[in-house]
Amino acid sequence: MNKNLIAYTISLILLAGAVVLGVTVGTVTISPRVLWNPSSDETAANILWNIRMPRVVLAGLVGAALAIAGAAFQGLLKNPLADPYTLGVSSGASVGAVTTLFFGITIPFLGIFTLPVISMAGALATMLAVMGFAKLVDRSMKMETVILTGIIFSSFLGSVISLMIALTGEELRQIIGWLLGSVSMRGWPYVQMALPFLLIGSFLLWLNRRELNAMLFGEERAQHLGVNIKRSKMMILVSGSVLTGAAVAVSGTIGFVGLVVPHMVRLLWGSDHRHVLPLSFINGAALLIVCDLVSRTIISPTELPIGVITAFIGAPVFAFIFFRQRKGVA
Amino acid sequence: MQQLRDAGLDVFVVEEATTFDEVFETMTIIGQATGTMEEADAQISEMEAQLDEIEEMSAEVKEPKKVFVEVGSTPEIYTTGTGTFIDEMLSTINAENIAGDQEGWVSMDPEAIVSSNPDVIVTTEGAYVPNAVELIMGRNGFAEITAVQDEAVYNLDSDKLTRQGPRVTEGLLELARAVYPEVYGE
Repeated sequence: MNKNLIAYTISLILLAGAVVLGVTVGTVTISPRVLWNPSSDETAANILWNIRMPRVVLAGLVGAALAIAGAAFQGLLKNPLADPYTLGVSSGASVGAVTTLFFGITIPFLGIFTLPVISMAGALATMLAVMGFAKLVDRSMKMETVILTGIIFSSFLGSVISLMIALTGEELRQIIGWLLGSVSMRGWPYVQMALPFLLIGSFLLWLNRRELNAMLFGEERAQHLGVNIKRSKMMILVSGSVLTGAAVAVSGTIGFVGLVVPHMVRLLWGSDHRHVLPLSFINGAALLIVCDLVSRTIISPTELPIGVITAFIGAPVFAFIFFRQRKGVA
Repeated sequence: MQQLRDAGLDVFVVEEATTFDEVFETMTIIGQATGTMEEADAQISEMEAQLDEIEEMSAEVKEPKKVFVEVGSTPEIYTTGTGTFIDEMLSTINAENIAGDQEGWVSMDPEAIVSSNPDVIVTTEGAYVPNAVELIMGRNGFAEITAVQDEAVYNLDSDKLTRQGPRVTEGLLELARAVYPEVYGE
């Protein structure tokens, strides 16, 4: 129990540190004092609350969503390389989002939630297609089969997006700007757009934390342990897609967060999903806030797309996990 | 280019002008190259007269205004620093370019724009983005900028500002009217 307390304390301190750094460091340096005393420097306070804070909050939410979704996918598929990006789910969500922007769709009653909802539908459809196809190829759903299927779907969906971009005229800039993966200048409306889905998705996954633990022993054993496999599986897939869809809708595709964070959490604090899920959530938020900070300061005043930073960290981690699995050291 | 030369064509490359003098020089060269020297001379003296007039009037500017010129907004905001034609135009009308400490065409962090608080914002994106001015005014954190509070955000024809040809003095006058309507009239 003590060990867990330490894990949560460290994670929360990291997150708090990331937030403070995220809002104070940038092209314009802002003293942390402005946080509690906005009248001390009004220009700084304006920048802090209207430009930096929404950006930091959005980065945090996206990171948290991708990390907890990754943790759940890895648990469900018993596949350490699974994450929204490698499974192709992010690409599915992108197709949904680009379609929405391309046709300028607004579903009545949904309003601003049209974009995340259609992205989620794209994510879920891709998830089911990838799983279905992988199962057809290889009933035991080996790690490589699932990832390879994810990559096939990703490339196909990527070309669908390229096709749509080639066909657009005026909306092109908006789509490209979105596609590069960024949390820049999105503002509070985007936070509002994503927040409800991230909370619902994370909560649903957290409800399944014991089921995820049981599934580590195989589906059959889990069934004997009293888990309603079909229902839990469906719930995890849907929540994972909801999280990915909402994250992609507001920030574009940002890869590897769902891979790096849960892996680190397991390495440090064990693989009990009761803690892996919330700890991934907290650390995912912290990681993406820091990545965003790096992306906008490293070649300031120009910005690097945030996806570049996450891939820079993520791809070597991916290689490392794969290597370890293959050598059977795990 | 080599392909064109190989095909037996005379190829002549015009260098990018970053000052008015260079524009006139380019026009002279093109006039010589195409055997239309007379037309070129006439055009140049007309432009020089316009330029002189605008320059003289800039003496009436009491307090130079800070201007931000946005030449691109997606995915990042782009502006023009020193050594660009737009920067030359701004100094001709006695206005301060807030990106004057940068060089060439550069991207600019929205935070930096907010903190340098320009008096006037000019966008050249109206040709691509129908509501370019409204988008800038509605940008997060921009509500506090003087230019936005005074509604001094204008869309100008990008061809006249960024294509160095016979229409640059026209562009200069439009820019002057946007920045100093009290001096150059609306």
